[in-house]
Amino acid sequence: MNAPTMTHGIDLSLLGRGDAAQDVPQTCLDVRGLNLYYGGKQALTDINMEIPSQRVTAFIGPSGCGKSTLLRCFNRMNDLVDGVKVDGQILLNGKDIYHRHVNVVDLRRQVGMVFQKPNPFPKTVYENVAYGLRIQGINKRHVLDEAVESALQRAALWDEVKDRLHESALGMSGGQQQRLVIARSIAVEPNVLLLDEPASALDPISTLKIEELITELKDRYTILIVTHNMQQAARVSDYTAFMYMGELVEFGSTNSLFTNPKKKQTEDYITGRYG
Amino acid sequence: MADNLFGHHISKQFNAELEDIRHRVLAMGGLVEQQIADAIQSLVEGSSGLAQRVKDNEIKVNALEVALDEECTQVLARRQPTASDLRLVIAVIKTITDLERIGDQAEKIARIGEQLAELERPRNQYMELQHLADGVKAMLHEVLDAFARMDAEAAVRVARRDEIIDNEYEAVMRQTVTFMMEDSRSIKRSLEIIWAARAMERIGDHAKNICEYVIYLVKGKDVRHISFDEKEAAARSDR
Repeated sequence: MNAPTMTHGIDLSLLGRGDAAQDVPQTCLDVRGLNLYYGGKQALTDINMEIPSQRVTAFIGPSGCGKSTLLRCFNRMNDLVDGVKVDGQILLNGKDIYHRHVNVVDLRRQVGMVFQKPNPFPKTVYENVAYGLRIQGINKRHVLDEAVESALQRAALWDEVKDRLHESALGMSGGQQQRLVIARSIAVEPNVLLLDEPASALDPISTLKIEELITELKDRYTILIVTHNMQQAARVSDYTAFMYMGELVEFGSTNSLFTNPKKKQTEDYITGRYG
Repeated sequence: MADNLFGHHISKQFNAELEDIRHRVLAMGGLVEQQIADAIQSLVEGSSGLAQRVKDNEIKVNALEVALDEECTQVLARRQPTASDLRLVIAVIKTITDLERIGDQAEKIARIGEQLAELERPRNQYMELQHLADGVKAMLHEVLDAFARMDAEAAVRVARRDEIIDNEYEAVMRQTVTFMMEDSRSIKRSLEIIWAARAMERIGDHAKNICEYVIYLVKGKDVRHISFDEKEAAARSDR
């Protein structure tokens, strides 16, 4: 009998609230005073947040609020946009990813990204998943075979494609393509997965499969998801960040943010009111 | 102000649905309040007509509970409400359960009234029961008012009055037991009085529960099973 969990003979663990945000996880990404400018226009203003490890953090907010811009900061995708200036810090497991000695290619291996529209390469299913590993110089057949199977298993796609590994990925359905892209991202064993509207181009069943997959993957990866679908954020995430006009308005456990938000702006947005 | 609290959704239909739910809960509350008043009056006056009206209206109370439950289920399924909208729906689902039980107690009082009508009437006109009834009627009235105005602090003040009701109930018990010991012929009537007092004490408990739902609705805090001081702190907090 474990004393702290028992009271009056009742096992308090039975009261468990099913809230992964209840226990305090380690910080994976620590954002400190982040500002981002597109030319003269400020798109993100003084963002400060600690994103927990091996949890799902959702970013919600109206179009143009900066949530996708912020997501792209985590693997420095914004570097590819002309005229972007970033100041402040983002620490990935304690190391600043904007430090000048950081190898961006290596960073993007650690921080994988999946976009709204599935973007498989015009190659076979197998080669799509093996792609990242081949770039790293891994060419041994049995190593690749194992890694491809393992990634496809984890992306809940293996059973559907194991007999057509060497057919073109472009022949798959949208939902399968999106899971293939996720398999491709996790094949290189990243720390973090960035999902930018990963299910908004999919039908409801494929969407549920992606959501189910997200829940399974969080045991191994820290997942950040941008979504316009608030119910989706409520379903899949442990933490939710609400952004508005480039600022982080509220960041907290999904359970409390969706039942009792602290800020009126958040309340208005999630209840579908005009402010 | 409260009229607008559940407005301003982009979906006007959603505004209308929530407003309708809110409106109908208050209407159900008003009906239940009337049931208590009619029940106690029927008891005091020995009026079988009034007792019958209470029994007839009890069917309406039950029907309102079922209809509101259905309406809340529809909103949950179709709108997936969040934040204050979600809390409104949850608070309503719980409130109507307590309102329906208050209705049951009112019916019980009316039936007891029918039993008492056949016995000799006491000189004090059931003063002690009238007093208890006034107390719980006022509690219900004020908590419905707090619900309408979304006033958590008022809800705590109402909840605190449940203690007074409990004390009065104890006093009625002691007094009635004394009567029974003094005069065994009064036992039948005394027992009926105790049942009626007990029903009113239960109404006070249900009204207190509704107070807790109002605090949850307004502040998002679950204040069940904690002290009145803690409830008050929750009601005063700014979330």
